[in-house]
Amino acid sequence: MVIVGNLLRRRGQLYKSTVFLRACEWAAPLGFIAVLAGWTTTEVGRQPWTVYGLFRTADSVSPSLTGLDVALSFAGYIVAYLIMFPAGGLLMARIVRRGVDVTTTEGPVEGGRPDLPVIALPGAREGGGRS
Amino acid sequence: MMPFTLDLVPIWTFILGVGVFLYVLLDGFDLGVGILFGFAPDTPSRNLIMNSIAPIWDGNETWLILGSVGLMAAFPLAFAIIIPAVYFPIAIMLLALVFRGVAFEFRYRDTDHKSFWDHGFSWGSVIATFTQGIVLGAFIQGFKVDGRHFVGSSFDCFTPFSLLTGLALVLGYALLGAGWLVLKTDGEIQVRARLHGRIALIGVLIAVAAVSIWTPLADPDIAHRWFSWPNLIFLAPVPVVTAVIAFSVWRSLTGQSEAGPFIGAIGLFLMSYLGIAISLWPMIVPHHYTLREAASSQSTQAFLLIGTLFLLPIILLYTAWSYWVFRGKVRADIGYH
Repeated sequence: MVIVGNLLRRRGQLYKSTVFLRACEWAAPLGFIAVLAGWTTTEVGRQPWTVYGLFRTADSVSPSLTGLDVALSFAGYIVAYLIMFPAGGLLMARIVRRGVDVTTTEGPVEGGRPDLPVIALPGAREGGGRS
Repeated sequence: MMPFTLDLVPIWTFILGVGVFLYVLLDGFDLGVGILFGFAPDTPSRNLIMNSIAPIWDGNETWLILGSVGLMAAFPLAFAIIIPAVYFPIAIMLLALVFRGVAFEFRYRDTDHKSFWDHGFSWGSVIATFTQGIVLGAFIQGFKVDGRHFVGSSFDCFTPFSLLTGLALVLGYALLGAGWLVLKTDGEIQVRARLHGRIALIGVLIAVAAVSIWTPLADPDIAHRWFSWPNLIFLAPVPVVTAVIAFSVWRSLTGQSEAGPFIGAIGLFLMSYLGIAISLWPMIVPHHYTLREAASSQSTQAFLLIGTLFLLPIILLYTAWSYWVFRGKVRADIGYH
């Protein structure tokens, strides 16, 4: 995607190729998938060792921890994430659907942050809001 | 080979002690602001209260990471015993912090469910604080240890004593949060913060007194440390100074002082922290292992120290800088978001 994007940029076609922009849209989750896949590979690949060749996973479990304890805390995490992920997803979808606010592109972009409270005292604002 | 050995255990004890104390103070006041957030009467004041900590709260949680990772790396035996023993309070605390942290971002963008995220923020703060207090109480009481393992049940940490320390910490953080709000706001919100601060102060004093009486009664070693001769004389300043600070916090909450309540609340936390340290020193797993016995090897501690010595000044610098940038009163028309 990076190579194709750079080629298109050189030809001045970066924002014109519908196919490429569509592909970018679909490529958005790839980084996320790559992180999860890499993580899964290391965690599965090192089994049955916690410290490879030295310390087995079965020996590194806390003796006091019962299956019920783990099930309970796991259920807690599931409940929390069942609330968080859909809420976050819906919010992101809403932001995307609303689209880019064209009026904000007037003047230099200040990283999307408002003026610093210290500098943004009355009077300093007319000075063009440096940050 | 002439081994030049610098004793690293005191250095790591100092780093961990200061790190944990900074965590308690810094995240303490922003959790306390979250606790008081639930009592704010309207949306504008809630927005302002949240803006008073929005730019700095997540930096404050750096110290939680530093404390837990430092404990794991420098005192692995203590980590291996303590963390399984407080499995549920820690898990619940993390989930509460998830809700609380997300609320900062979501309540501004998800205005349809603002009250849901408001509740998430205040209850997340209360629950995270309460569970930290349970960890503290369970730690003071000590754990069931056999050899190098915790052998009790994951529910052992929920005792009447640890529930009391949980409540005490909620009141304590609320006091710190009230001190912060007095410092950072004015007008009606400050007046309300002063009132909440007074209520929290009374609660804190009752809770601290209860803990201070209960602990030596339950633990003869601690009683002996405080009440044997001549310790009695040397340690008498601790409760006396605490009482003097408590009185000055009350005076500054009822008077005009804007920095007094916050500084005084920090003083109260420092005295309580010292009190616990005096009671438990030099144990890191009470009744079982001292700091030295639980320490990792000299080379491990040396290796970690090199990295930490580079890291700590950077953390301290950016922390100080962020407080400097966001100094002064928060106002309704300007904010982080």
